[in-house]
Amino acid sequence: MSGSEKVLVALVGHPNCGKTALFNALTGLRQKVANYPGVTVERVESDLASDLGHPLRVLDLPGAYSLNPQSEDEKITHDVLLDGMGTDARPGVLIVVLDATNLRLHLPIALEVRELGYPICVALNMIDLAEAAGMQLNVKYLEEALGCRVIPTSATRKYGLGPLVEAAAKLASSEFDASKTQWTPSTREQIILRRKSVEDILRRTVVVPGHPSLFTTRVDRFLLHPFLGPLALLATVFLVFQAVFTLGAIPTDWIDGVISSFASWTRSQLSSGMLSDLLVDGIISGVGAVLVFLPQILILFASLLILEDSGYMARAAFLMDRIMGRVGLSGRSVLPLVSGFACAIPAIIGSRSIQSPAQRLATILITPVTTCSARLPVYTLLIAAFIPNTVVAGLFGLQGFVLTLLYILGAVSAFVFAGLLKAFGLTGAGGYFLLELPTYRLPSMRTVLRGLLDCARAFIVRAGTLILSIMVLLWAVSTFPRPPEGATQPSISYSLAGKLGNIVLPVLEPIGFNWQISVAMIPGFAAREVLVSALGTVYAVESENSDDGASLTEKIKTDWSLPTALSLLAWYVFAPQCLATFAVMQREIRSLRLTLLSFTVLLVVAWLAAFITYQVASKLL
Amino acid sequence: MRKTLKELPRNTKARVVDVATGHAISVRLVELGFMAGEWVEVVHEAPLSRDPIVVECSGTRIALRRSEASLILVDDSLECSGVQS
Repeated sequence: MSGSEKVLVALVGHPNCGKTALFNALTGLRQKVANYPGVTVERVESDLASDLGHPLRVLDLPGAYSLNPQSEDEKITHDVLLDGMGTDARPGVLIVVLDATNLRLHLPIALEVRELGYPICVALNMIDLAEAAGMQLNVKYLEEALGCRVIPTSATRKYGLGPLVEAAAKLASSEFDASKTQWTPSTREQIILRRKSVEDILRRTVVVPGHPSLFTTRVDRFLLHPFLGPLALLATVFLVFQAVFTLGAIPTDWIDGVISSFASWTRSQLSSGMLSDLLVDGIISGVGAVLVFLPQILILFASLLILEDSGYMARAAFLMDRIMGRVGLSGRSVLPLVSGFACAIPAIIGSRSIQSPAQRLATILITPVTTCSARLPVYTLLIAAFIPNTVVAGLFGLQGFVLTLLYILGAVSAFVFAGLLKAFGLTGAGGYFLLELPTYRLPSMRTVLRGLLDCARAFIVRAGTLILSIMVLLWAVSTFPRPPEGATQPSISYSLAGKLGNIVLPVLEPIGFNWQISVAMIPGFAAREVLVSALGTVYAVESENSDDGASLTEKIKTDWSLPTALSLLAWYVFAPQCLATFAVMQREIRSLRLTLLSFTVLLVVAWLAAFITYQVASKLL
Repeated sequence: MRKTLKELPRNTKARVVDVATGHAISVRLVELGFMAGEWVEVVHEAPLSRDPIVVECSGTRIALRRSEASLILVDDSLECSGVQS
């Protein structure tokens, strides 16, 4: 390790030790998410300013109870500490993060990690909560017993961060040869011995044990109550969705207004012609159609982050485990599947925390059916155009009712698929459920904010790159070649897109799709929400001469029948129209057979669902 | 009396006697604090099926299914209960 090189400091600790909050407090809002070389595993790190000693980088490792990995995310921590997963990812210093309020559970990993020989120091985190509980700790003695610096910290109060960085920087200049690290999995005797030495250390470290917090016990008496618990869970889900659709609609309307005035301003500034069409029809309306959903996605994401950070998600997992277990999943599948309502990709990656390989596989395979936010633009467009907003049973608006129905259909299908996977023995047997229920805590605003910033950044980058390029490409293929002189049909039917649409039309005609839908469907495989922008482009290009100014909603309302719209909704519940999801699935499960099977089955099911919907609706309506 | 944690009634304290080896999570149970001599208590049962359960063990709440709880042998006899640590 050369002198000027930045030394990598890794944070190690249990899933509930406040490690990520500490990382965020140390680094502010400028983290970098990268992949390990060779293995595509997320790695979160950031540069750290330190006045003393070495320049540092900080790495936030996935939470682990020990070095004996029980799940994919714990395996990452194990692999990084033992072989670095590629040379530059090998840490030079470890900070072991312990929850000061529960040292009995947290200290063993400090003892285990110490045996690896890394230069280490300990962050005695959440010291503010320990003190509030009246606990008094002899930090000097703990330092003696562990043979390293122990720094009391509080991520939420930004307490002890300076001394922690200072200690890490001092360790960074010490000589350490990581290649000499030796490790063998701990035997049960070693684990028990370690717990025994923890008891010895605690006898002299804990001067006053403090009173245990009754808050969590009291809240759990209500939230885990056999009758009130499930009601509270339902109410929580209901509130989250209300927030997404009512609160989220307000900024959505503003963004929509800004985008349409920007579009008409742009059109007024340019002489009508191809450039104006490309800018307005292709780029502004295409990217805009996607951007308007940002507020709703952010509200959903914020709710999930708050539920997770407060400790409630673990309770939801406990309450749901029985139902999940019936179809071969576990309570641990709840968090990934719920985050699938935002996006399937983080949901699939989040499944790494599921310990049982069979349950993890089942969770990943059913994730594409959960109603991700990219379906929302499509649902919203079709519902606004075709479902009258009448009041049903004096309570629900019909539009909201249909939307809820689509979400329920997605969730029920996920369960049915999981059951089928289990019945066909594709996901294997051997499931279990084991989960620590953490103490309830106020969610860290910094953690929530950072999560939201990352989400918004990813979303805007996606709209600005992937979706922008698709829209330009789609505009080009639906404009060229130009129609011949004296053409009678709309010019788009002479273009490449028109021809492509006509090729796939025979497959899609039985389910009621016209060629405009067929054309828009093709880029829709890159990203679901593109369908809305693509339909906008196709219809805008089609009606280029008769600039009637009608909105897309009005255009499809006059152009499509109700059965066609319903069939398209049914198609979108199942269709595997997000290739990125399947790329990530393949990366995580490493089985091309199952990934392709999942894709094909969903495609067939989508077609059948749309077919049945179209045929039944055509007969009835 | 010796029984597995699976059969321990709610709100009854017992001491861990042993954790069965050989299951995928045997080691993790020990790491989470299920060791001979530790006090455990079933504090919550899931709705309807009363499975999974939440067990309190040395200040930590752990949710697990009854099938996993059957790996843990406990003793809830009175002479064992003595002074609660």
